[in-house]
Amino acid sequence: MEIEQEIKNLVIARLKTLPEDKSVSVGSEGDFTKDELIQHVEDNDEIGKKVIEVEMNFLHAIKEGLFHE
Amino acid sequence: MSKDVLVTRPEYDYTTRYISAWSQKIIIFAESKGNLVIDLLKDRATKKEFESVVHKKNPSFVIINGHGNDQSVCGQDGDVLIEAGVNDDILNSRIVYALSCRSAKILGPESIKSGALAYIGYVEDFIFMYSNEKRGHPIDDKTAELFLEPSNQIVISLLKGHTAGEAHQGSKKFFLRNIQKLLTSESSSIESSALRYLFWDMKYQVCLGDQSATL
Repeated sequence: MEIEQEIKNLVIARLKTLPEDKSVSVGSEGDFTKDELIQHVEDNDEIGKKVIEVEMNFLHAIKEGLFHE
Repeated sequence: MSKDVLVTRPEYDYTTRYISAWSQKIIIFAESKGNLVIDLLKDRATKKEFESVVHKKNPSFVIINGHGNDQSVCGQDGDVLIEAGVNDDILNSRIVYALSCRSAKILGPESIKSGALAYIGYVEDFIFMYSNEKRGHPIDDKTAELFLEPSNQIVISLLKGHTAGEAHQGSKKFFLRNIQKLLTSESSSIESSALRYLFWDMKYQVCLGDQSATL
């Protein structure tokens, strides 16, 4: 549970760096502003879980050096 | 089988407007290569019209833009165009590119079982970022371009005669190049924020069926 909360906090901290003037299209789920994405993560709903998955995927890829062929 | 290309372009929210606008580029390219393009735009992007055109024109290449889920892809206002187990056999003997969320999870494999040559799509949501100030003119949106150019690359590659597998790999390389450019250049943090979503789309794009299939 503690790790889950830490991951959530990390993701929210990262989402806070998103620009204000952009939106994110998540297909049929809709379009979201930075604040809306953060709210979904805080609410731990389906979209929030997806947002966490996207962030963690990217962090793992960096750790594994996947971008430097 | 004709050399015709069928494109569906629903437009009823920001996502579909962006995808439709960027598909204009591939339509222009296809026409410049001598292909006849059947453009099911807005209210023409319905199941009835889609099925009718496929039967009449018999296109070898079907590009489906629209909202989707594991089982289906939609047209205008959410009208289901193709659904696994319902009418996926309409894709028999064709190459398909679905710019749609998750349709390569179930609809893709089912289409291959029903005879589609190759199905390129996404097993997860296709996520992209755009600039709010460009929503009225999506084609000028440099942020959205980072995502939609690699997507268009699939169509361009296939129309140039490359195989489905090569088109898929070429698109993934385009995503990777955009990622590397953002990581290494002096790009602003605004642009860098797109990285996470570029990686997601690159990772979950798949090519099902015959990798050596060509148009």
